[in-house]
Amino acid sequence: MTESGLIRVMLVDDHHVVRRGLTFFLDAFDDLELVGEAADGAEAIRLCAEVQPHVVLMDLIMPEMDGVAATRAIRQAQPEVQVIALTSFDEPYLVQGALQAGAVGYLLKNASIDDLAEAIRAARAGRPTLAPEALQNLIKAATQPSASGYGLTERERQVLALIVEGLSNPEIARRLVVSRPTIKTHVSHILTKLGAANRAEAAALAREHHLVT
Amino acid sequence: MVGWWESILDNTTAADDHSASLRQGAEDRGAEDLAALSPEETRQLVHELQVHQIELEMQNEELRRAQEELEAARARYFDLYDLAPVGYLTLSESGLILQANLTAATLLGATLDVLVKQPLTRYILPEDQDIYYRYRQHLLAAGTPQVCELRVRRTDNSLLWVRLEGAVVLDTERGAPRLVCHIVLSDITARQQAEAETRASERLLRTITANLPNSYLSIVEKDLTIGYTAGLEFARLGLDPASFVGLTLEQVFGVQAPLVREHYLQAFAGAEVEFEMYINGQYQHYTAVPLVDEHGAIPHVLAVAENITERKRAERALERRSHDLEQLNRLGRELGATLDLTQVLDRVLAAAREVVASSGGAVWLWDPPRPDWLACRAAFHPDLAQPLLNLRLRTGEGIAGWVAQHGQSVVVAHASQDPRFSSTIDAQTGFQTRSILAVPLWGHDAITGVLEMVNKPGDEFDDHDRILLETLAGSAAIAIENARLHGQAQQAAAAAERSQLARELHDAVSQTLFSASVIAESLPRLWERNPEAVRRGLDQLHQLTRGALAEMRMLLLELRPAALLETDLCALLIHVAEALAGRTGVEVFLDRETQCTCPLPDDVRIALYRITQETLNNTAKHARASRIAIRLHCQSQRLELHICDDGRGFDPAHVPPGRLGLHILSERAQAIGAVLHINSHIGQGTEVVVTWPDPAKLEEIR
Repeated sequence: MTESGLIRVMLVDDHHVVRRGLTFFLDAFDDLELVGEAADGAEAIRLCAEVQPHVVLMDLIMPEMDGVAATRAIRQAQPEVQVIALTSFDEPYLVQGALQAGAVGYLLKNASIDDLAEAIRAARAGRPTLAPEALQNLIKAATQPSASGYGLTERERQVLALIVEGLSNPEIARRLVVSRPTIKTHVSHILTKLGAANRAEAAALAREHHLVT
Repeated sequence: MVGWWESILDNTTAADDHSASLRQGAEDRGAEDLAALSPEETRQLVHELQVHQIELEMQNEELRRAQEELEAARARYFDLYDLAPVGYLTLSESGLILQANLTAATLLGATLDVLVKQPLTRYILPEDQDIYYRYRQHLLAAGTPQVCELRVRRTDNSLLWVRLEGAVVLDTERGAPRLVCHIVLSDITARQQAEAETRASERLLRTITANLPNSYLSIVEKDLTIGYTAGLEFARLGLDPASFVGLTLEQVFGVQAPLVREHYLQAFAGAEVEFEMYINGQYQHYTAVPLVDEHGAIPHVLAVAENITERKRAERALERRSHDLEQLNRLGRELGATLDLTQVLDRVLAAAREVVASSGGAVWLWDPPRPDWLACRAAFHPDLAQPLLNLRLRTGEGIAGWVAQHGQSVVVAHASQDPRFSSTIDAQTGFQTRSILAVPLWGHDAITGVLEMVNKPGDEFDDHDRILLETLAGSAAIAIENARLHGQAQQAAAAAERSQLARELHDAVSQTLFSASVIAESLPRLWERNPEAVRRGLDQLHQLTRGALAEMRMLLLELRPAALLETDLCALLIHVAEALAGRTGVEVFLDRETQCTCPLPDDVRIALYRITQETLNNTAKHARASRIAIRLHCQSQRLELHICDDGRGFDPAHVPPGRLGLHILSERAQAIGAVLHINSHIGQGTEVVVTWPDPAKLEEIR
């Protein structure tokens, strides 16, 4: 906290226009002060160490280094700096990713300037703020754990794990001690359930959605 | 037993008595008359006597001549009798040889003097004595000539086949009349041997014909009845060849008789004919050849029938197989000719009906939204196809479910008796399933579904059906997978387009609108405190909204390629410039000279638009420029596009391949025959120049 009592805010967004708009927003509130702007994650980490902001408004989808990674790095290096994710997306994995990385707030780019200002003040005090959509997604993910499991059976999950490892059908059949046609059937079901066109796509989906351990 | 010759003996005695009394009368009268004669009468008598004398002498001469003739006749008779080509024997009633000619003696290997008074039995082979005994009894009883054949042992021990032809006669020549037996003896050894040989060869022939494999032969008589027939074929068919002998063609061949008659008649006319006939469930190949005798006549026809049923079956199986292959090949090609899944499935069913007759059929495929379920995606049946469509089965449920689970074909003769059968579908549709043939559809490395045919009309599905349907299923699965992949590719392309659009909306419009809304919201708060900021904010707002509009227009052009083609190049460049300015805040100047009314080819126009778009994107992303200038210069067949910025620049010699999107710009330029130049130095901005047509092309034009 500086002597002026203003909340030092840093903007991170690869879109120039967004930074311009947010500059106007910060100008409009007496207790908020713009201390720095960065166009990607790497620049954000560097600048953050330099300008010592209280709160960072962090875009998540950016070239070079994305917002989740930058959030994690900043929170590790400077635990006193609070990060609010400000993004257009409310996908559960992004919300979870940002919060796990240490973000204290998650706002969408439909927030009003009053919401933004309130969230920055709350963050400064260490209180979380979540956009209603993000909150809803979190609750849904918590109450329906299987919804993201694509309805795979335990056996199909085993087969999928071996597909992710890059094993061929005969190798999987040997590993699980079953016949090749059986494995073919499992693979066919897995592809159908995941809506994947081929094994590579299924493996990619499995990794992306953590379907295998 | 002897009645007939006793009467002959009586008649002979009576005739002898009569001639004796005549002689006695003549002697008595001559002796009385001689003493009472006159000289005249005596002369007369002498004259008469002389005349008589002469007459007697003449008669005597006559007699002598007759005697001589008789002698000659006797000699002739001797030649005829003794040297006859056959032997003559005269036997007594008790069987002794009374008389024999030379030939007979030679035949028996004895001399005449030895032969006479011998019993004939002495020369007859012991084994044939019975024949001779019965022959003699027969001869005496019958009174007519009789014949027998037997073997005699000659004096030198050699055997001879002889024929005895004899008759009993009454002999009156010597002494009291008695019964004798005249026998003609002839040598039939050669004939017997020939006959034995004939019999042997006939036996051989019969053995051969009886053992003709898969065949039989018949000797057909002139009246078209069967004279002889044999061959293993009879045994095979459980028939007795002998039972056919003497039968007419109608009796043997029934309704086919006219066909056979026609060919046999041709053979009797001298032609060698062949024909085939299906009779008693067998295919027979007939060859009929005329049997010409030594006079050139055709008393018989030889018909050889070969059972060619197996061959026919094999031929038919081969034909069927070749037909099947052709059909499957054709159907496979037809299946692959479309990429529309619905059409593919309909063709699969049509093809399945063509190769395997059935009254209903369905294609079951995995139902993506419901894992472990199969859905009926195509069906045919006069009434029940519609209710069947989109019905679902769980994996393992019913025959189709079982096949999907196990990946094996199933042939079910009686559905209701098969534990795997599920009556659910029947209950839902009112169908009555009797027989089922279901085969899995194997995709690239997994089962994609099941092809199921039900109720083969009047029959049960067999292995042949199964193999045909499995083969078809191979092509079908590939066609289905292709159609699916095609559908997915189309969906993916559509999805890619949509996500590209979403990204662009996000990258451009939504960010711009968010910014604009934040600014607009902030302005009232700044109104009092910072009029200068408000003025800048309004400028920003104006630029942002113009940019957003330009961006939206560009996106709409991307969504409607036709609209892109209709828009002239200058208008396109203005959209690009305004959109970038709105998005990035970079000032973009469009040179006032930029006027182009040349009718440019569409591909050139679009390429120049894209090059500008990508160059500006690159600049926004990498150059950190604050100003960009675009100039389009057009002059008779030559067009130049300049894009330069005041950014940080780069060293074109040290750009890693694939970076900065430079190669994409080059490719676009090359595609329309333009030349692309990039001039840049670190710290001095970048200039991109596109020249169309390229200088070399211009040379050609001039």
